[in-house]
Amino acid sequence: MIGPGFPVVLRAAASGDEDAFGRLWYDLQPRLLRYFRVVAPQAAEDLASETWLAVIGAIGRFQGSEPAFWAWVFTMARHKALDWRRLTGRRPTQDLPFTGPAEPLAPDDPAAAAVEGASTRAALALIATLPTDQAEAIALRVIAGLEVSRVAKLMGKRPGTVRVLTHRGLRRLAEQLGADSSAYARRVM
Amino acid sequence: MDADDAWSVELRRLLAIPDLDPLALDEVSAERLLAGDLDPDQAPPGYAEVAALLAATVAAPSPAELAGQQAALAQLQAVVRAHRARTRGSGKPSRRRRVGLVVAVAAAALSTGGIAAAATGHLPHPIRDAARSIFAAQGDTTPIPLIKPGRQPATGVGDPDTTGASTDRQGQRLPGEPGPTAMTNVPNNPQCRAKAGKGTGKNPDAADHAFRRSGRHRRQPRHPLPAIPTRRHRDQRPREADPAQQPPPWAGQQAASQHRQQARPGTGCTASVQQWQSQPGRPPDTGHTDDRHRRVEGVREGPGRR
Repeated sequence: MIGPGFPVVLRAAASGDEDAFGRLWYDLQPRLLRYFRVVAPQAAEDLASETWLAVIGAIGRFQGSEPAFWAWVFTMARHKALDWRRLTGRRPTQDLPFTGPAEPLAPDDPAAAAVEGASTRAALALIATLPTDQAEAIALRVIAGLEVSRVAKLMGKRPGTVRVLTHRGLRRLAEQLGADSSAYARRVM
Repeated sequence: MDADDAWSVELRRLLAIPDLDPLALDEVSAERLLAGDLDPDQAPPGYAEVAALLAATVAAPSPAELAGQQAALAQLQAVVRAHRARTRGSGKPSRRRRVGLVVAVAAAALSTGGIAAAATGHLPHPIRDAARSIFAAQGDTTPIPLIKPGRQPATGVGDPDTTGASTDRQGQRLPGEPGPTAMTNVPNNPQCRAKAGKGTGKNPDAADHAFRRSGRHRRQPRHPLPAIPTRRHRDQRPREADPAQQPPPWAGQQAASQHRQQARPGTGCTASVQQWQSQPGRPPDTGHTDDRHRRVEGVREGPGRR
């Protein structure tokens, strides 16, 4: 989070300042990617790029605080994910096996970055196994860092429903991890 | 002790156990887990691994997740350049220009409305008085007519000398107003002038016939048109027509045409027909269209053709 200087950064980013926009992008891009890896794993990178295109096109018209900006961005992201689901529902595709390098090497600590990235991917993959509403509610609460009221508005549900969804999701995660904790450990390592 | 008693005893024993559900999670702990405020060591039983998993989802970004920054910045620059080009191309008109445009439109609307009100006689009295004073200052003695809507009181019905210009006898002349011979301003009537003017100098008979066939003379207002004395040129003939110069209407088509040519500058087409209708021995005007047409045709054909 940028904090109190967010309005200045947002104004500068809307006027084309690369540094200001880079700060927004650096804050939001990893979360966007992780959110998409939960709700649309096959097209996470593409959907993140499309979301940024939409943000760039409309950032000049946005007015609000930093949490509102995050909610605005994730609202666009959710719309992109819904569009992608509809599209794949009409035209199902089959993924080909990936043969290239999994991730580019990090400049400073490749081993640590690989382990951390692998653990994050494993955690996101486990959340993605939950029912869609539960996985999305947990992703928006944890990854996007949104409050219950904003998540409820974004998902078109009541706040109590969102609480129930996250509670059930956490419980299901605990059950899966307790039943097969060694499996999660194997994914992480 | 039967089976029911055994079940109740067992239920009572199970209810005495405080944490029957091993994965029970209260709301506060759930909120702390979701907010990332709960370490795995402090998590409720069964949720330590969940806390570690949720912490992994918000770990520091890997270089792979930040690889597309340059592409996003390039896209931002392209969008900003396009927006600036659009803004520069579609410059709004200046404030001064907009104010001038508004003033011009208002002036045009006011002048159009004023002309329309003056033409229809709906000018307010103060404005009419002001216009009259202006014209009087310029030496123009033309009175500005006051035409009030509604039917005027009828007097002298049937009297040829007092009947107004209307041929259908609906409009009657007010006492003191000029008689038919005073319809010297009928050529100023736009309807009569427009219809008769088409044939002026060419075929006035045909023009008059077309005017009468159009039925405009029957749609005259119910009140007589007021006499509007106009300024005359020096060489212009007096508007008042001499009854002695008017030929008899039964003199045939040639005579009628000649009569119209003589009477047109002074009496106008409507007044000449009205005078013909007021001649003794003519059948009364029933107001019927066919009847009127028949009689007009009779004038043109003349008694010899009948």
